[in-house]
Amino acid sequence: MTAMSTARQAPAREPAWSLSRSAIGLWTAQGVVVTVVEALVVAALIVFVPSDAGPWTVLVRWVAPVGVLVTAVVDIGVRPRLRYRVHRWEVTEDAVYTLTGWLDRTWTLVPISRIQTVDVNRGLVQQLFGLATVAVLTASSQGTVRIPHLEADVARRVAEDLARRAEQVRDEAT
Amino acid sequence: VSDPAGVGGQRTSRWVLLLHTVTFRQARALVPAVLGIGAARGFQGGTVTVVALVVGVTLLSLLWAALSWWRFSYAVGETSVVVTRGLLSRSVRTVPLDRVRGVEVEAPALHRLFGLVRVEIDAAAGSVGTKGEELVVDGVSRAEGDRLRARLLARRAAVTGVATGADAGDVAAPVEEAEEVISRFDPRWLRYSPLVGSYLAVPMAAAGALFRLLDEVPDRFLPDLGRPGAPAGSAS
Repeated sequence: MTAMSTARQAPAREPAWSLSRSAIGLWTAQGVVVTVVEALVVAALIVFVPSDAGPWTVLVRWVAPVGVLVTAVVDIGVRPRLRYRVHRWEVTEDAVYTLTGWLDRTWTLVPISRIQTVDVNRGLVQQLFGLATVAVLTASSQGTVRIPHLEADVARRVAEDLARRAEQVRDEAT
Repeated sequence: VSDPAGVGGQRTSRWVLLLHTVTFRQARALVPAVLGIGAARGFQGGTVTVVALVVGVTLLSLLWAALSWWRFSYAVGETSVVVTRGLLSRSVRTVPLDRVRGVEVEAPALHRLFGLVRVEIDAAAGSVGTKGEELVVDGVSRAEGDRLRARLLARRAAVTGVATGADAGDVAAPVEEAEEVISRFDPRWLRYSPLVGSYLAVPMAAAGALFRLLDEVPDRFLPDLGRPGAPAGSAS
């Protein structure tokens, strides 16, 4: 494995690995929940706003449902896939390396020698989808890197591996 | 649900259940909600309601403490400390032993009744998100606490000693060496305490609070000193 060369040219190319495919399912489920809530609110408005309220009627009867429909398409059809495409991560020989964001792209590199703590969190919904989030904490208050929605056992292995390697690399910083 | 830690974890002492029930450690989280409900509904009811509430809250507290205890485990492995916790959403925190910055063994008053201690492991991780808390193992026996501390710090000292000769100032003394007493508390030091300004303010604040409290007490509970013909002593 040419990890050293990988690390050296790291900022020039994208991290190699993507999140779990199940993340799309999770985000879609979230989108569905949000859409249902929005639809309920709009339905309540349609019921309770009288039909002779002038411009408000038009707003509630036509604009709001269309808005809900559009956000539904975005939240359920587009965004989960987009998010899946833009989140990338990789653990190289000496750094944890993530790339997030669609318009604002953020590259984060955490040297393994600076890792203080590794967390694996599994939220309720994540457990349903068999996913887990890995958080890599450094001594810096800015330095926490989160890799959301990995397969649970991948997350566990990554955390163990990082903790073990961080222990081997002596941290000269503090 | 399989245990993501993988390592055979240890639970804290069972007595901590009792401790956390008595102090409502977990149930305290409900106070804002309860206050809100109480304020909205108003409170009326006699002794029965009060007793029912007390029993209910205590049972809830016990249940919560039991669940937290059951879902919490810690393990000190070859290379790292792993703490697993969370009732529904699970969290596994791994700290490489080399990154342990300090171990604090604390014995608050109630803990001492049960012979327990609280071990706080300082990992110097930026306190973002997770409530700023480090690794806390709350409620292990004193012996276990000492064992944990020795284990964690021994590892650190050994690693520090072996790994680098460069930062010699950092190299700790060998673990086996007896601890050196630098200073011991002497009661005579208390004589200097009035020299600190804030300590003068504290008794005054206490006196003020006392007067305030006296002001609140209904008149019928106070002896009436101003009345003519009061018991001897007021007339000179």
